Amino acid sequence: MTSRPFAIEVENLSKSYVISHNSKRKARSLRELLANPFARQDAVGAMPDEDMPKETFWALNDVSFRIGEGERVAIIGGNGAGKSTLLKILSRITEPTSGKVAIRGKVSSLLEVGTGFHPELTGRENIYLNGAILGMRRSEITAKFDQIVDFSGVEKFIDTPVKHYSSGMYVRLAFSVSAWLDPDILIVDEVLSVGDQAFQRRCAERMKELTGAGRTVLFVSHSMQAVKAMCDKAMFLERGRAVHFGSVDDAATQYVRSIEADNTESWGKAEFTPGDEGVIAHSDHQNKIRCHHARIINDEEQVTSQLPIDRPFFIELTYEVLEDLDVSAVPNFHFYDEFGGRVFITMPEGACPREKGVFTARCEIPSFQLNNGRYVVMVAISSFSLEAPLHFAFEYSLRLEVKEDTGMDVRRHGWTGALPGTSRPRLDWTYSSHNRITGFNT
Amino acid sequence: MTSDKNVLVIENGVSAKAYWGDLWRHRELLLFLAWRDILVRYKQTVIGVSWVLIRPLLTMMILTVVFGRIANLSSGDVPYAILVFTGLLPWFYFSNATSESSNSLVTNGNLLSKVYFPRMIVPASTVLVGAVDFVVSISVLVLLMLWYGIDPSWKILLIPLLGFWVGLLSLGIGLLFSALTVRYRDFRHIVPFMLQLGIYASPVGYSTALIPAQWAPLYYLNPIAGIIDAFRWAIIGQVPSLYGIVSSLVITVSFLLVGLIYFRSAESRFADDI
Repeated sequence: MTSRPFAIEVENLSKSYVISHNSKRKARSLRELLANPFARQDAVGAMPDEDMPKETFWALNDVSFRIGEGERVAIIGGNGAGKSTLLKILSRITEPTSGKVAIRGKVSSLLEVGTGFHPELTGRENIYLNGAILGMRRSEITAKFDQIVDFSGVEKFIDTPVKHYSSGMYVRLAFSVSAWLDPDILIVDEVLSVGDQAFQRRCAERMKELTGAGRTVLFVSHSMQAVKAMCDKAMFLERGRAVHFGSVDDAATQYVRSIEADNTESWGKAEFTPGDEGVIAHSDHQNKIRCHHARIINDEEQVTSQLPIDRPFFIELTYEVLEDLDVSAVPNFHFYDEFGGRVFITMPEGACPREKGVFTARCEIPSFQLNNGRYVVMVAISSFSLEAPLHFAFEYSLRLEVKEDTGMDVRRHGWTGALPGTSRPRLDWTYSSHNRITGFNT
Repeated sequence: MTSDKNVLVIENGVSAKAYWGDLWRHRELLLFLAWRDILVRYKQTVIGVSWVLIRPLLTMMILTVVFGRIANLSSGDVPYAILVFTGLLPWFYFSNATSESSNSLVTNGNLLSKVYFPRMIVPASTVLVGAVDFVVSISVLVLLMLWYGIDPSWKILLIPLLGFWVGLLSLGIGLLFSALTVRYRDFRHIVPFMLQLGIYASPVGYSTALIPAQWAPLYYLNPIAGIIDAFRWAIIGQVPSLYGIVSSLVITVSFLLVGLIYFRSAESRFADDI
């Protein structure tokens, strides 16, 4: 055989989740368990229960591809396209519902940096623990220990509990352990964007080193720049299907086109009620708070998804507190750009309603807070003091477009081209004069 | 596809093949997780590891007063405190290991959803932590025996083996309940409650000599009862109920089997359910 041996071969891979709507319980009931204790809990999951409407959601749908040894492949796609699910299956964290994967070689996956870090342990202890969790042997960690510490730049605090670290130090140490893994196949989920600029550069260099040495790499990212710089091939996933697998440029073009196609069809979505098509629901508790609806409202109190850049607008979430709560339940709105990159998360200041009843939370987005472009909003309510904080979160619940007509932004000073970015803040500028004779304004 | 040895195949329901090999490859992780739990437990405490000794000692005093003095139960020819401590030694090991391991998957949920390793390592590591405490508490037993001037017989050498037995029982129960807790958080309440009652349903504060013969079959359904008998036999030479020991062995093996089977059947869903 002369062909390059495969590193990863995926055939007809599918994964489904069962989403239950308005269910009062999260878990399978004890009654069902007692009736049939050893029923295999296959990936399709729970046994049928008539009084709970259910829907099967295909996170991955009949995906097949083949990655040769030493290939560096990017996986791109919007939120909910199935990227994370694919990585989780390849890293063996979750099982597929059907289909088959064959992997040749040792796999390390970095779906997160610092998995298993314990705040009470020192940096040194955490390096060993995290290394062991990532599959390194103790002797291997000891051998690489100095390099890891060097790379992280936290030598001085290596025997201090990491709870006293700044968040930057913490992340640097966490990434450093991962950076010295030595697998045949490396699976990375956008962990590069950590630390300050200088550290990011070092990470990028280290990633190049890691990926250069004939290693097979799978890399998930939203950044087309990073993808183009690091990968030879790309797969574009859309709603669980592999739409394209081939050159990076083609996949990137398809990705952008698909976003545009989305745009022309039905980009705007000014109203949301649970159960809307295309919305992904998450929830830890379903018995405390129920979502009624959410809306986008302009400054003339009209429901619309088309918003001028120079006017403020509002996001409204109406929800029902089903029982008096002993914890705070905080509405939070998450804004994403059209490529799925997070723009910001906003939460109210002060106490939130806890008593039983129906409430509408309204958040004002000031003019020019968002640049012109398309945005997706996820509405959620969380009780952060609970171990499982989420009452509900609905991805893609609202979609809006911020529009700019000529003349709306006086700060353009005649520039008519694009002003990229996700916001166009109205920042204060001052001038000071260095003219000895007269002041600037005189 | 090639039938190479190095090739790992992932399919729905076929994770079993490489499982035990994987478990062996991850043995260091087992130690690391146990080491972490031991390190973390006594951080920011003043007397630190002494807590391992204080809890059984205080419990021993209270049980000795309540059962030995107030209820005036008989302890045979050994001091009541020794009788109680020989019961507490396996009981504390069992109840700590069982309650910690039953909760272990949920408390380590962040690991389960981010990294692959055979999940059995998690409950097993907590049993290992219990074993370390057990070994430390043996030193208290030695001191007590010196204090009361009790000469050990050769049978005391069986304690490590008996300790291993407690570990297996805790592991069996822990496997079952940790997997159940992932789906049914009810068990977070059930297990501590059962253990709270368990100290009275087990011969910790009293001797099994007090159990009427006709109640023995029912009484020894509690698997720790037979084990405590075995400990008393090894340490102070009290004749155990053979029935109790056999019953306890059978229940231990059953829990291990049921625990293993259920755990393995539920394991592939942990990351989705947690």
